[in-house]
This record gives sequence, C-alpha cells and structure tokens, in this order.
Amino acid sequence: MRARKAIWINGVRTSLGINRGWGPKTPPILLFIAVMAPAVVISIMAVAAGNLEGLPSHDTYYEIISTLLVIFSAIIAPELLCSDRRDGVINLYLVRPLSPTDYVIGRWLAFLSVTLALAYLGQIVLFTGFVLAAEEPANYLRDNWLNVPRFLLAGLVVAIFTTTIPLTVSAFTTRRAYAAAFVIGLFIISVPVAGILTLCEEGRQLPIEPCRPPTGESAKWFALISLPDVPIHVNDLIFPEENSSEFAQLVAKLPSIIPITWYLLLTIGPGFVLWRRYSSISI
Amino acid sequence: MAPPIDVRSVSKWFGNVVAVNDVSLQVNSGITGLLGPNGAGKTTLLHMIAGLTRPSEGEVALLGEPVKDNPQLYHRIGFMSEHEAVYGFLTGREFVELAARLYGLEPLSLPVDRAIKLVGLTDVQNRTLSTYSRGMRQRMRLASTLVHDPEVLLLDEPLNGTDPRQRIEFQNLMRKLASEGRTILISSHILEEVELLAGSILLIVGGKLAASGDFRAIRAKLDERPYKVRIVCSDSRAMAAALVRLEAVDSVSLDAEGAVEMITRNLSDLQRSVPRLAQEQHIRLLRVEPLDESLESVFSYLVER
Amino acid sequence: MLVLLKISVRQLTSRSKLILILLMALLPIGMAALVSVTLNEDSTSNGEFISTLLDGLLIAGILPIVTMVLATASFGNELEDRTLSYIVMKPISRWLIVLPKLMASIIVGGLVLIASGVVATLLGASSFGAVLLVLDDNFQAAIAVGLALFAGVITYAAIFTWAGLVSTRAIAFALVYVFLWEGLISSFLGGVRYLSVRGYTLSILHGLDSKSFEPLGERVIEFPAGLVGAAVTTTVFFLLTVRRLRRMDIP
Repeated sequence: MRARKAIWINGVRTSLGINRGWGPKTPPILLFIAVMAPAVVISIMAVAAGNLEGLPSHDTYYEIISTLLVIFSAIIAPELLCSDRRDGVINLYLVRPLSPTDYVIGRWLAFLSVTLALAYLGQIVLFTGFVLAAEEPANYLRDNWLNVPRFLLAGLVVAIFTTTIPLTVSAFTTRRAYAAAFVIGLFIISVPVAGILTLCEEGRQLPIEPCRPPTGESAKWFALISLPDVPIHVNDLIFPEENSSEFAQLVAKLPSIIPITWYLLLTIGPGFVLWRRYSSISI
Repeated sequence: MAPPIDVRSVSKWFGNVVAVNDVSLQVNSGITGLLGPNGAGKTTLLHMIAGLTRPSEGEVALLGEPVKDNPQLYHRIGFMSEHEAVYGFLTGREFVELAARLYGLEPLSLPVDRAIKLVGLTDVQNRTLSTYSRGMRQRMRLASTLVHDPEVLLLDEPLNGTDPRQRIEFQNLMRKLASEGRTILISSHILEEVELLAGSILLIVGGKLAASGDFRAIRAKLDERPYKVRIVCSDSRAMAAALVRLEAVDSVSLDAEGAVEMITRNLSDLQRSVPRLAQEQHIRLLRVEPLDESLESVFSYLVER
Repeated sequence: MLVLLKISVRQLTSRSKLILILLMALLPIGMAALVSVTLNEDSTSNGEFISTLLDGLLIAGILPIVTMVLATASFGNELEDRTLSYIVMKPISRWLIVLPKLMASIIVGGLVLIASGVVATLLGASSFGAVLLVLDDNFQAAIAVGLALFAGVITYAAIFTWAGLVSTRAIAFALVYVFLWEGLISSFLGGVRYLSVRGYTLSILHGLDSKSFEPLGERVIEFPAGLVGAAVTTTVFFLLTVRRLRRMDIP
C-alpha cells in the first residue's frame, strides 16, 4: 500500500515539476496559468458587470480549456512514463513489492489527480465569482447549487479522457518529445478533420439557418471524430443548457447512448492497452 | 617550449556547485593517468581540456594554442568521451569514415583501414554498430578517435566494457602510441591498469588537484602517512613483542593468518631494525611486504584526507 | 558538410518517424479527396476549404507538428544520446555544423509537406467530384501553397532547431508556442500575428495568389511583413543556434 502511495506522490511531483529545476517546472506553471486565466477573467467580468448575462458558464468552461488541458497532458504525461523506461528506472520500481499494474495505476491516478485539480480549481473560481457577482448571493447559491455536482462530474469526465490517452501513447515510446507530438497531433488535428467532414455549405444565413453539411446525414457521425469534443458531448448530457457549437448540434441528433459509448471506448480501450503494455514488461 | 597540455588556474562552477576548483597542471608527452573518485571533477576537467566545456575561470592551452573557439586545433586532438552511445544505424567502418571525413582526410581508405586494424576489428567492420558488443563498440570508438593520427589523445574511461584480454591489447596500443611521441591523458577508475600504464598521474579530489607526478614518488612524499607492513615469520608472537618496543613502530597486530601487521612512520628505521630483531630472537623471516604501495591505497588515503 | 547532412537526414528518417509523418501528410490529401467526392456538385465551399483544410489542418496543425518533431530532434536527440561530441570535436566551423542539421529537417519536412499541400490543393480544385476551391489558376494556387508551406517549414525549423539545442524540453516549449501563442492568444490579440510563423505563412500564401485565397484577406498581415518576418526570424534563430553551439557545454 505504501509503495503504491509512493508511486502516486512521486507521480504528482513529477507532473508539477516539484523539487526540480526551472526546466521541468515551467511548462506546468505556464499551462496552469493558461487554464486558470479564463476562469479568473470571466469571474472578474461577472463581478464588474454585476450580472452573468452573456458570459460563459460552468457548462462551457471545459470547452474553453479543453485544448489547454490536452496540451498540458501531452507535455506532462510522457514525463511520467517515458523517462522511467528510458533510463531503466522502471526495473528498480518493479523489483520492489510492486507489480507493473500497481506502477501504471499509480501513475494514472497521479496524473488524474493533477488534471482534476486543474479542472476543478477553475470551476471553483468561476462559481465563487458568480456568487459574488450575483445581486443576492444567497439566492444565487440556492438556485444554482446543482451546478457544483454537475461540474464535478463533468470535470471527472474530461480529466479521465485527457489522462488516459496521453499516458497510453507515452507507454509506446521512450522519447518524451515524440509522445507529446503524437498526442497533440492526434487531438489537435482531429478537430479540423472533423470540421472538414462536417463542412457547412456557403450561402446559408447565420444564425437562423442551421448548418447543412454536404456530407448529409452522416455528418453527425463525423463530428465524433473531433477528439477534444468527445468528453464535451458527454458533459452536454450532464448540463441542461444547450451547447450551441456546431459539433454539439450535430451530435445532439444522435441518441445519447452513442456519445457515451464512444467516450467509454476511447477511455476504457486505451486504458486496457496501457495496462496490457505494462503487465507484459519483464525486468 | 609549451607543454602539450597546459591548464592554468582553471575553475568551473555550475550554479552553486564548484566542480573544478583552481586547478593548474601540465601534461607532457607519454601516458598520464587522471584519477579521482566519482564526482571529483575528472570528466569536467577533461571536457575543459578538450574544449567541450568552457571554464568559468582560467585558461586551457593545447599544443601551445588556446582551446577555446579554435576548432582547427581538433585536427591534432583525439577525444573519446565516457558516453558509449554511437550511431547504431552506421556500420563500424562508416562510423570511422564519418570521423575521417569530418577531419578532412583524403583519401579515406588508408587511414580508416589503419585505424580499424589498430583496434583489431577488420573482420566486423561492415556490421552495424547496433550489433556490436560493448567492448567492440569501445574499440571502434577508439578507432574513430585515432583515425587522424592525433598528437594529443584525451580518453575518458576508455576501458569501460572491455575484457581483460582487450585491456592488455589496449595497454600495448597505448604504449606504442606514446612511444611515437604522443601525449596521452587517460581518465580511469581502473587503478591497476593506470598503475601499469601511466608514468605519472594526476589525482583530482573534490575538484582540486590533490597530487601529481609518479605515484610512487607521491606515496613516498606523504611522510605523515604511516606505512603498513606485513611480516610472515616463524614466530609471529615473538616478533610482535620485539617490534612493539621499537620507537619507529606505531602499532602491531596479528592478522587472521597469523602474520604480523604493523604500522610505522619510519620505513628506513624499520628496514634496519627488522633483520636485527629477527637475528636476536632467532626468528626466521619468510616474507616482508609493504601493504599499501599500490595506487589504490595512495588514492584512498588522499580521498579520505 | 554533405556528410553531416546525410547523417542528419538518416537520423531523422527512422521507420516509425517516417510512417507517422507520411500519415500526417496524407491526411489533407485524403480529406480533400473525400470531401470533393461527397460534396454536392453545385456547392462551392471556398472559404471553408481554405480556412479549415489549408489553414486549420495543414498550416496551423500539421506544418508545426511535423516540423517540431523533426527540427527539435536534430540536436535534441544528439544531446539526449550524448553523441554531440562526435560532431563538435572536429575542425569544422560551428555554423557548418548547424546548417546541415537545419537543412535536414527542412528537406525531410519540406518535401513531405509541400507534396501534401500541393496535391490537396489540386485535388480540391480539380473537376473530379465537386469543386471545393474555385481558383483563378489551379497551378498558381498550388505553387503558392507549396511556397508558403516551404517558407513555414524553414522558419519553424530554424526556431525549433534552436529550441532542441537549448532545452531538453524543446517540444514542450514548441507546443506551448504554437498552440498557446500562435493559436489561442493570437485569436484574441491580432497583433500577435506579426510575431507568429503561422501569420507569416498565411500572409505569404495570400500574397502569392490573393485572388484564389481572397477569403484569407481579412485576417492576414501584409505580404511584405510576412516575408520580412519569416526571413528575419529564420536568420535570427540560425545565428542564435550557432552562438549557442559555440558557447554551450557539450555533454
């Protein structure tokens, strides 16, 4: 148990660059600021304006930071897995009473903790800002307290997604750089690919006319290709507010089970591959 | 004439850590050993001599020229780092040819053939480096270091991964190269080999030059250091009892095999006393040996100091 | 220098790397083909094609990623593997070491990306399937895409080669630069385009064929600014790399 906890703590410290030089610390710090910035900015705007009209809220927050979370994961996940295999340190871990499964679960949990903390901190800042901005904070709290469990659950959905795939990719190479580039490539590039396949025809009158993609009815399936949006589609089922983004509108036409199944496929699948990859390691 | 390697008041620090502290030394032709425990600053010093690392202070000159910002000097210098990595996708021959081309050698085949023959890898030169054993890789690296016939050779842990037979071949090669007038500086942990090879040593401890010169001479100069001597004789107890009365002897003990071990600060006195005592006590001396004449003990002593 | 160029190209073209880069390069071609087949014959989607496929996918996505993987590895892998001393301790000027390293990633990345961009553009403009792109002159547009991408590769390669020499976390900084600075921040602060390789690339594309790429007109910087920006950035980072190699401690 202690060994597993040690792996977890070490994983958290590695992710955040704690007790190491400025090189390992800078990307997490920069990205942390970048992820928190929207929450801070929106809160300030809400407090300044005295109301929440027209401002992004808890449901759209994860959409705003999803790219940043992906970048964070792409850069930090390889630090957790690649270096140990490259330097042979993994053998030291595995001669202890620690199985490869313990090791990889410990790393996964460590990274999940850090990502969750990032996701939740922003939402908490946002919620606090909204409460402060409301004319009657007590009433706001009473009417909107349900947002808290919603954003907690939504945050978990996003965090699990952005933790598992990058770690799985990192399990297949010892060079951090390639893992990072591959993860980013996968996520970032899937967006314009999905965009192209769900192209809207020119000449339509926005915002009244809905998008009529030339790929026709299959467009709602192609929209699922956009990886950063996969957890967002699940979150759209958690929050009652309608998501006006084009991909969301397309996916909304599918039965709810489809985006959920797709999400599970893209988390459990890679998770299984990650576990298999490590359980076959021999010292 | 300037010595081939001239290091003047060189220091190197990384942040708060001082790796090399005000070291001045000169290395002449022949084989010199650079010794020191891990973290003593040997590799940093060697890297500064090779021009790979800039000293924070001080100057390094090779063959009379400053080594800083002077790539043309590399025509005359060969350097082999302690890192064993190579370009695995190249064959052994291609690796040496790469070095030869970068040294601007024309035509290539003669020096490359010669270098590969020197290290005894002609038979396997067309295999890729990734298929080589560790010892073979080291030897091919050495070949690429020698291909341009350098006047100065700087070798960092060249014996890593070599077996005893290869080490003997290496020693013979080094002696041959040194006899041709080259200056060879070898950094090594394997004290026995350096002992056999190097005429003089440089001892680096804690970033400072602790000692330099012939290691036996160094040993002799360390007067304060007591000598340990072991005597095997026909009556150890009687010998021990007799020795303990001598002024020159600090302490006497009997080792596990029943021989006498003693510590003395005055070796010459002891040399006179032991035969006399043996005669007086009717003890037959079978063996008298110094226990710490080796480089190892000098090294350990200076490290502990 | 030629021998260093050959070695560097070999180092960059390991099987796994090549496969990934080729897959990425085929993506725009595949996309252009797929959409041109599925699109209705009488619809035109000029703006969408340009902004999503050329800008969003190729210039903003595949170009920086492919270049950063190759260019940071030029010196990055040598530093990580501790093989840099083999090259540095030779009687060669430092800039003659940097140049072949830089050229290797430009050649490998450039060939792949230019082919991808040119073929995707021609496909999009062809009369096979629907016409995604109504171009003034198909070949001029394709050449403009090729040249703009080449300029982008050169400029990114100069920056990322330097990054690979300076830091063991070069890719992390490269990703933050490309997706945070050029992606996110420049969408809020327009002025950032003057300091972004993506901005230079788009400006060169528009400048070389403003008729075909007219939809870009509103959001690109002036053509001379793009050219000068790319040239200055490349030169500055090349010189910085040479300086760094001269001054750094080689492991």
